Amino acid sequence: MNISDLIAIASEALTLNKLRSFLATLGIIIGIASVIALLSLGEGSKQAIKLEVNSLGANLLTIIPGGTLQLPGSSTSLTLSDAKAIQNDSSIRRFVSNVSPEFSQDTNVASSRTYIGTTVLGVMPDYQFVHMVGMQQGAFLTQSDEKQLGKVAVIGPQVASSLFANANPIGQTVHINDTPFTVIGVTQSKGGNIAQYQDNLVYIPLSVAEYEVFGIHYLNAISVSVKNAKVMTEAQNALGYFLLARHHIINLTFADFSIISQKDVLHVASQTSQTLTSLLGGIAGISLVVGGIGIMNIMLMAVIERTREIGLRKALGATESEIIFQFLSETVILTFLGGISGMVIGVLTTTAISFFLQTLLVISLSGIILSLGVSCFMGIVFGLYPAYKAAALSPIEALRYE
Amino acid sequence: MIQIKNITKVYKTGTTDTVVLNNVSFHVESGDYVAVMGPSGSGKSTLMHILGLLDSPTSGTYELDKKNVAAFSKYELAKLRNRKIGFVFQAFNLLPRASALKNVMLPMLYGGVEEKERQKQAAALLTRIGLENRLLNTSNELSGGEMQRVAIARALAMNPDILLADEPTGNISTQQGKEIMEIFNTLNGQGHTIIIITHDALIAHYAKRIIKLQDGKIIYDGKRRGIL
Repeated sequence: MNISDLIAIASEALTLNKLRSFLATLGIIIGIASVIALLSLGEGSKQAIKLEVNSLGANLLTIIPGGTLQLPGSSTSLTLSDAKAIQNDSSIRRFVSNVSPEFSQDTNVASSRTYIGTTVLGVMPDYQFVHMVGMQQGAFLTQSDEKQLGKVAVIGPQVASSLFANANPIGQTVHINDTPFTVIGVTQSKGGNIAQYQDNLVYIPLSVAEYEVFGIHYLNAISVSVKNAKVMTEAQNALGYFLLARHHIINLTFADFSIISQKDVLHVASQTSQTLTSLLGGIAGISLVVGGIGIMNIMLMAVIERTREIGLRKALGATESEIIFQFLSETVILTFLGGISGMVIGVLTTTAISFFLQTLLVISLSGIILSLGVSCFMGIVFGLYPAYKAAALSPIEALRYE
Repeated sequence: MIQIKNITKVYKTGTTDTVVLNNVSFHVESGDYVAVMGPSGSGKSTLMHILGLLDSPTSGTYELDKKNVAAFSKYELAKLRNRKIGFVFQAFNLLPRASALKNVMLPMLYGGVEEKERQKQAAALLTRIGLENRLLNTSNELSGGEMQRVAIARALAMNPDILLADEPTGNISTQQGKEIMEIFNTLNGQGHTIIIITHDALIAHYAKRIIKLQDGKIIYDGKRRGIL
């Protein structure tokens, strides 16, 4: 008996009771569809997180005030002179391409018709390069705006639509803490979930933020773009030691600043997404096992129902291994067809969810291969016991079975 | 061809031992036509199961073509059943939802015959026993006599030396029974060894030799004319 004979016999047996065969595979179909959909959606969200985190800036290191101990005064520990020192130090310049000192504060921003509460950022022109800010309209802040304390502002697209609706925001005036600013540019939308807050920012020259709007002399971030992803760790270490020396801190525990690597953020975000995907995939996997047990149950019933047939086949010369392969091939065909149907439903579900939620569509190839492999493997595992039970039947007992 | 020596079969039911065959010995030559007769419970069916390699004796030896079958593995026994023995059962034992053609093809499937050849040979066998117009009918569309003809065609599928028939006319009308027995006569004439298990003297009348069992023992083994 060759493979085509086995497939033909198994298919005949399965088509004799189509509804039962379909119900037997239903558990597998749902299990496989869930595994593929969840793994694909998880993979999609991981890719989306990666893209969004990267859109915040390439090879980004962010220095923020305050260390692990949060000592008094540590929230104002970073200053513009720190940023300038980083920029001018030759040992740091080996690793660093741009340095962006930043101060941000939540405040009200008003146009002639309305106002909104948002975050205002005092930044220097390098901010645009460090954070890869694209312009939808107009231009970003320049060095001369910084030097001449220009009352100019660049606004995010959401701010533009909130304050000016459909009107052209360029040349319009916005008031920040009662200081009027002329809008000179609108940034491009970053979209997504993580980078979306950037669409709701207002940028003004750092010097103006420090001296005229907020009256502060410290920064709440220095963003640094590192030249090469391979030297991120070296750059992080060099910056750390440089600032510790500048702040006269000997013991690392008393550091009054922290350095966050974009890689770490990405890692944490991916890890979270991965954990969630694994958890959901695991739950879907359990439904797959339940489906397998359902198939085993149906096959055990089939063995009882077909006892006389098994006895007859043995009397006519079927060997034990031929009986095993016959029943095993029925289970494998059931699980394989269930796997294929589940795969199609899983891919369609993923596509539909991505379409309706406007998320990144990624079909997990590894999920598909894994699911089909697992479904065939389950066919063998859950089919073996009924098949052995069938093969072990005594031909006389089987022929006498009523 | 078949040599049975001192065969005993004991069934254990709890603590009770039931002796179904008791020290049975006989031999069957190639081309013989034997009817094994006896009342219900005399051990006929058990003897047929042993002869058909479906069961093994508790003691004694069974030699088929001068080889002790006790030495064969389960695999070898299955292959021997397939090539050497054709079964015809009282209850026909056809696959109910398969066509007559598919039923006859079944032993050839296990005999390693190619699909096309299986179809060709099965159609030829069904034609030979007068069922050329019923090839694609399922067994529940056939009469009792037709079902038994299909079972005979199936028994002949691998052209076995021995045909074992257990009460082959038990479930069909007298007229259909006569037709079935005439087929066996023809097959014996063509060289097949036929062993029929029956309690019916009219059926045994077709055989050349009678073995009569009672309480698991042979009480007569000889020519038909000697007893019927």
